[in-house]
Amino acid sequence: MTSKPLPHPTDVSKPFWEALAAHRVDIQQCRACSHWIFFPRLHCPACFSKDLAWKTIPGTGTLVTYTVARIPTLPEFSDESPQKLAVVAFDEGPHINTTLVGLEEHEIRVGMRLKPVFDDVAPGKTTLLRFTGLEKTVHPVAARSAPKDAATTTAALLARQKAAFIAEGPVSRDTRIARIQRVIDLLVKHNRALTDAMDADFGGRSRAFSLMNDIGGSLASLKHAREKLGEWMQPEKRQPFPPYDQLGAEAWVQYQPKGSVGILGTWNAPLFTLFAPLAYVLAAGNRAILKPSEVTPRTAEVVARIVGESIDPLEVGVITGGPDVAQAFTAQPFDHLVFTGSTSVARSVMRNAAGNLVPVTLELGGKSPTLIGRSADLKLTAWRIALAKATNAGQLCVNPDVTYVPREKLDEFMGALKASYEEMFPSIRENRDVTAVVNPKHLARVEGYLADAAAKGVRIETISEAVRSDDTANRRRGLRVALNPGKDAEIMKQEIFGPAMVVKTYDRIEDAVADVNTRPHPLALYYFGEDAQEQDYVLGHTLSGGVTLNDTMMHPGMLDAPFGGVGESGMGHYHGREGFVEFSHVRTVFRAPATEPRREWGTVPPYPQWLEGFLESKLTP
Amino acid sequence: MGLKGAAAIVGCAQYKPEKYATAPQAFTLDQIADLARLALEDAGLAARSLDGLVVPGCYFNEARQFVPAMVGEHLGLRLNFGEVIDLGGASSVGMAFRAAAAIELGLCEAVLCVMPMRVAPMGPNVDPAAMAAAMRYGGHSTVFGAPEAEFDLPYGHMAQNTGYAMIAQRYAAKYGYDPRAMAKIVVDQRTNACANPDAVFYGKPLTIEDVLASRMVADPLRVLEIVMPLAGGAAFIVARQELARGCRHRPALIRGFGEHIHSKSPTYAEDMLQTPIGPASRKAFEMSGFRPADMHMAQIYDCYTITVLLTLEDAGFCEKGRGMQFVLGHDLTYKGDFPMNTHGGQLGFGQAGAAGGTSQIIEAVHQIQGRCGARQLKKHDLAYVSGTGGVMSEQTALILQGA
Repeated sequence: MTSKPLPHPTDVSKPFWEALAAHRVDIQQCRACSHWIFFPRLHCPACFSKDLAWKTIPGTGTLVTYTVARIPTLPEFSDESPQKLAVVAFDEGPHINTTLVGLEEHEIRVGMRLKPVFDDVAPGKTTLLRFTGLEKTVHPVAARSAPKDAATTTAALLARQKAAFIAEGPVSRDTRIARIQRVIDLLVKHNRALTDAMDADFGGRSRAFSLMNDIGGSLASLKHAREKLGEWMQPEKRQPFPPYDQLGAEAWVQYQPKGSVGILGTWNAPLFTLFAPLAYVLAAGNRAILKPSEVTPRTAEVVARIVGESIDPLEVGVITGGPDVAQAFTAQPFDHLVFTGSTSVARSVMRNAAGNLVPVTLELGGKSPTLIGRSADLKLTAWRIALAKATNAGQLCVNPDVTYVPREKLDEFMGALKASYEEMFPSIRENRDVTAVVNPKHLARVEGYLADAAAKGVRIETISEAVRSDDTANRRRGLRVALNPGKDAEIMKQEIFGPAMVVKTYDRIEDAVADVNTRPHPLALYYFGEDAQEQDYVLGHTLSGGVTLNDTMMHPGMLDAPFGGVGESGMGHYHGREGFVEFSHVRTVFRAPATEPRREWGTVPPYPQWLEGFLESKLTP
Repeated sequence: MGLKGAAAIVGCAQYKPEKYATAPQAFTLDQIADLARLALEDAGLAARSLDGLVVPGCYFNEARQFVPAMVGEHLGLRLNFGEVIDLGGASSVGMAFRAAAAIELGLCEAVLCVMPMRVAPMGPNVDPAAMAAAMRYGGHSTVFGAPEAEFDLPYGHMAQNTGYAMIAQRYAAKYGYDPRAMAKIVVDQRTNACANPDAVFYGKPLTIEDVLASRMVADPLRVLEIVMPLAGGAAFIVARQELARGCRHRPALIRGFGEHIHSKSPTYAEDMLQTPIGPASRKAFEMSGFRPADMHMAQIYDCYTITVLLTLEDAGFCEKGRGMQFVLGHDLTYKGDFPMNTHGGQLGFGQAGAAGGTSQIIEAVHQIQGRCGARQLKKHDLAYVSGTGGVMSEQTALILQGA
């Protein structure tokens, strides 16, 4: 699927497009006969004069006709389906082809008055002229800002959100539920456009997987938050200290929203990393601005459009753009920032956040290890690891990276791994179930690790169909396994994040654990085995964001428990009550009693003579 | 001014429309030779009597230029008149006029008008993906500088469905809309198709409810109101009256013709409800000396139901804005009081690309010749035929009279 056709301005039409980019409508008028002209030409079609002038017009007009296209006119337009195609007559007379935005089907009438909506479809490059009702407010501008204005746009939207937050006061349970519901509704309604966009962005990602991982995963978080937030947001009574507890003091903590939260998603789970944190951000009563990853631009565009269409940007806004936009975004005085992505980018996010003392939640990654004990059922273990590597082609932050296998079981494990993987993926290149590596850059990264290992004499096993490493048009790849690479190999220094893995053999579990501890704390750790003592040893001598025993990647699916990293794999969490608390300010309130005992106790100036001795006598161990 | 009626259609040939997937493939040149042979046979003329040619340029597979010369060479003909036509669905009617005018001017004696619309075999070096990419924008130009590439496609304004739908929507706002009347156009034509064994929908009758229950494609047009594109091809021979007299079947004299072209997209028409078929039909009737009410049949180009409705009004068969009442008030089948698209129309017979329009000329000729079997009209001397190209971009009208 290619992206939508964009206009290519000519020397003649350039002033029209440049005016649109400046959010102005300029069309031509004939100086000889006053005839207004659209589309741009060198001559007047009424009198053939070549004496034409560019004039700025208000852009308001009347709906000549329209249709609602129920089948996309081109596959690229499926994200807009049903398309509201229209012909509009400017008040000056000329007609223009366009689409209607911000209008429900029942609101559209031939003859209705319309005003322009400037849609920056390719920020800084192309602005399309759409139309909406004269009385409507639509926000494509907030949704799609030009990079140069990203800081200004984000700052302006954030300021408006903060003002709205203060004006709103307490955020009721019903309001929070309604906000979450709007997000749920739009994910359900636009699921096809979203999965199509992800498929196109990856160059191959099955709808089934996108439905499970991104749409389903986001919906699970949103619904869990919707269900639980009423309970979570209840103030909690706390015990006042003595003797005030006896004097009628009261104390409680209340969970208050912080304000506006910035959420930076990442490409590997482009919806989940936006909407799962958003569930807890909204549950806590906050407003949010989302910044989808530019690595999956079509998905970002659909998110911006659908959120822009159905949610007030003062509640949830979207800013799209590349790394420069992310820089501008993270430098804003948000009340909290959530970032999912790599450790290196996280450092820059935290640096920028430090400028405004903005608290951060960082969901990172690392080389999540898998330790296979001698007591493990090797066949089942291999199948579960193969399934994990098959999932999103290993492009997941909790994907098994280095697997430790008892030395004498290597061949048996490799055989079972191969059989399991090939059962799922008998072929690769044309297999729609195989997710592709997201782009040529990431493909080159993964292939580079493998080439480096091979150059260092490491044995690489290719499982299922081999695909030439330099074919970047088709980026589907089978699983490649590097066997016992040394510490100097790139594949042992970097998180693989792709269709490859490392298998290392060990003699004693202590050696495997020691090797794990030579690296920073990972986001996940997996142990397979039935030996309780060994399991305790592994859990007790390692630290990771979370753990799944006898399988992989299950703990992040827990809705009733926090998900987050430690050390280099991140900080803070979402999911569960902890996720709600993360985005709330836990505010302690103490209510003093009417009785005032301190004068009577003599603990106020002027201090009585006896007080020091009395206090000293209280210093007991 | 105008035609004297000294030229007539004397022979026809037509491939039965078939789905692209199962239709035979052939080079354009070979299709032309085959259709020419069949039309000559039908007319009872010898090949050497052909000395004129009208062919489509843009659907021609083997060449982009020098098309008439290449065809003449391939057929072994010496041509006194060679013409390429580019009027989309209005081309077939346009071909008949151009042939008749050339004959009346004394340029030539017998003109082959041919619309080969089967798919040519794909060459060994053709990349199917590149070909599919080139074809995905259909009749829309994507060339740098083309207004539609710059001002239509970026908004998703693409292909014909939505253009016709927008015309229908404007009609609805101005004059009102009765979906049952529109459905009746389809149903009456389907009745005709069921009396035509060559129709793609032969043996598949339809009810108004079926049409109203079919999928909405672009409001207010439903899928059964939209023509089904197929592979096929057709040809007819226009000959001087003297030559026509010796032909096998009754000649159909070309008595009047009109053509009107305004804007490629209805968007830029001043009033998209005043369609080009109005001026085209007025010219044709004026030239022939007949009035709409004199016609024994109307073969109206029917890519969409809305095309039929607007043609009924603008050609003068009924008052502007009264088309829906007209359709509901008349039986449009071959048995009825206003026989229209008696072969099923393109909606019932099938649309073999630009040869869909040829099917309507051929039906008029066959009715005039009294060769229509079960659907033969009792009064069958005068026929009105229309053609429509693009989105009401260009329209043509033809008046035929049995000799």
